Amino acid sequence: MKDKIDLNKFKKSKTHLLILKFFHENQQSVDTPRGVATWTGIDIKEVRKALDELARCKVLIAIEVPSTTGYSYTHDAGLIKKVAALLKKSKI
Amino acid sequence: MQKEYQKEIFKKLTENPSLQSERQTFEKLFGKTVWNIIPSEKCDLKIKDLSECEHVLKQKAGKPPCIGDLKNAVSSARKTKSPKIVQCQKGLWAIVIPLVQGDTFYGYILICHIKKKPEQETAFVLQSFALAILREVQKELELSKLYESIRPRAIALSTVHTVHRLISSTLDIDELLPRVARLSLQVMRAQRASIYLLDEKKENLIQKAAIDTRTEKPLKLSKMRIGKGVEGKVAKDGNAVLTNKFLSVPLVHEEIIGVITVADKIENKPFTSLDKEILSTLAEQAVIAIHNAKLYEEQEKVTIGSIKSLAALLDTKSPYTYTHSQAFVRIVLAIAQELHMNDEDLRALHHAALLPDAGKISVPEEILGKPSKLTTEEYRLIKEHPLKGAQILKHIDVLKPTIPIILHHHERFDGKGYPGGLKADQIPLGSRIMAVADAFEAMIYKRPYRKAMSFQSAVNEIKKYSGTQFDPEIVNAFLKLVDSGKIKDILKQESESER
Repeated sequence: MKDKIDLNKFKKSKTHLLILKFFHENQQSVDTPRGVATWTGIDIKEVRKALDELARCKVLIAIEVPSTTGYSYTHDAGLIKKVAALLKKSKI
Repeated sequence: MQKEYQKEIFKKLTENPSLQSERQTFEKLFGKTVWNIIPSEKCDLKIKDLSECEHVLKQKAGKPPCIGDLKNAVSSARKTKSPKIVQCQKGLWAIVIPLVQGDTFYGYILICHIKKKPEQETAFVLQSFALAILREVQKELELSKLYESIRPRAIALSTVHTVHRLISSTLDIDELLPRVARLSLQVMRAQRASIYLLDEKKENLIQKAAIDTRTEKPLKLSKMRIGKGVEGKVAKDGNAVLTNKFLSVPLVHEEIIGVITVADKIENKPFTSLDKEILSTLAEQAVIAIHNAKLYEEQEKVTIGSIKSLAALLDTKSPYTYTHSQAFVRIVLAIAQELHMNDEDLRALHHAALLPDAGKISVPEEILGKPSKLTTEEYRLIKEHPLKGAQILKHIDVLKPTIPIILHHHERFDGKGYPGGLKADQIPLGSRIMAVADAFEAMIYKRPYRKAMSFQSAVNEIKKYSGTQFDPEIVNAFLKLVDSGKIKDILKQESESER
């Protein structure tokens, strides 16, 4: 059985919301923390932490290699809907 | 398209704060006025364009008297491209400022209700301000259009770059192919992805990796003949196949080496020709990584083959002296994996474990096989073998990383070993691992000069010397493998292969 994922904990974090917005708008994207920091304009340290948290919540998929980690968007349609609702509500 | 662009410019011009501030400055000099910014398509001035004018609002029926004069002024301003001043109501004046650049007429600004007749120079100054603002708006719009068109391309390029980094970071083909499948799935937003490679005879496609996000069960890997099925046809003809639900592209490195297939896009969206282009780019990157991994695999086979040949040669002289059992190599690698050793170090350790005692070639055979206690001089010669082994192997470039491991595999954790008398962490990790596996192997196998010890007694001996002869961390990893049954499995495999 799948765990229920609560995205509401991210509703007050601009960093998490901007990252979610980036992946929601660019669903084919696979990017490194540095890349995501460039597209969102957020400091890379904050981005790394937020990416890790979003990957743990399964909203993002992480592919780890020795030199970096590539992040991409979930395939779960239910989760994608939840993200869309969160972004709409947050008006980011 | 041009009309849309002009419309967009006009909208931005209307909202532009500089124009608002120009109006405020003007009203400081001339009192409250009515401003209308009217796009080019409305060059035939309409009553509703003057809805801000109180005189027009008061007029209950018919056309306001000013409309005719204003229409003429608009038409003249457009023709001459210069501002026109005209009386709109009794004692009130209006300026028509045409917004013209070259032959493009964007519209005009109509300023009414001016209580004092303005000078023509004032109208020209207003026009030049308005045109400067128009240019600023155009630049802003161009920049935003450029950003909108470049950003998705830059993001796509960044994805291509990231995918390249992720797939070129491994030379292990068993790790690479599932990763390529996973990335294909992610980038294509598909629910299923498979990688097929041609077999050596180039008759069949062998499915090497398959992922389906709709199931957690591992998928059964299949095989198909060239020319049969969609993938078989792609592999035969080299042409991609694109349908709404399915996309298959060939993996080409000088010739076709396999096929990548993705299927069932999420949310039932169809695959597009852009998807085909993207998957083909990914396939090009994957092919290079697969080629490199295969080359590496071949090089590794040659290296291991050469070491084994050398070992076999030495073994014909005196079995068990220079080489160890397959079980020894497997135990060494199992401990290293238990300790999460990285791939590069693991490879060096594997090579070292295949031929750790080549240096014994320099020790006379009667000393190596002597059943009684060695003399001091004989022991000195024995102790030299790691150094001699390192000297033999140092000429083979690919084996250089193994030299420290071979040189120090007879060191003891407490510093009482040889040849360097190194202690604890001073001893290379690989050497500390080999020391445990070497001692264990020596105890459990029968030798011409002594009996074999039982499995449990040998394990107890390893435990007993943890912290003195052996590194406790390595002993713990070894004991975990003992508890999990892994060591017994390795020994079982060894005895089965000897049968």
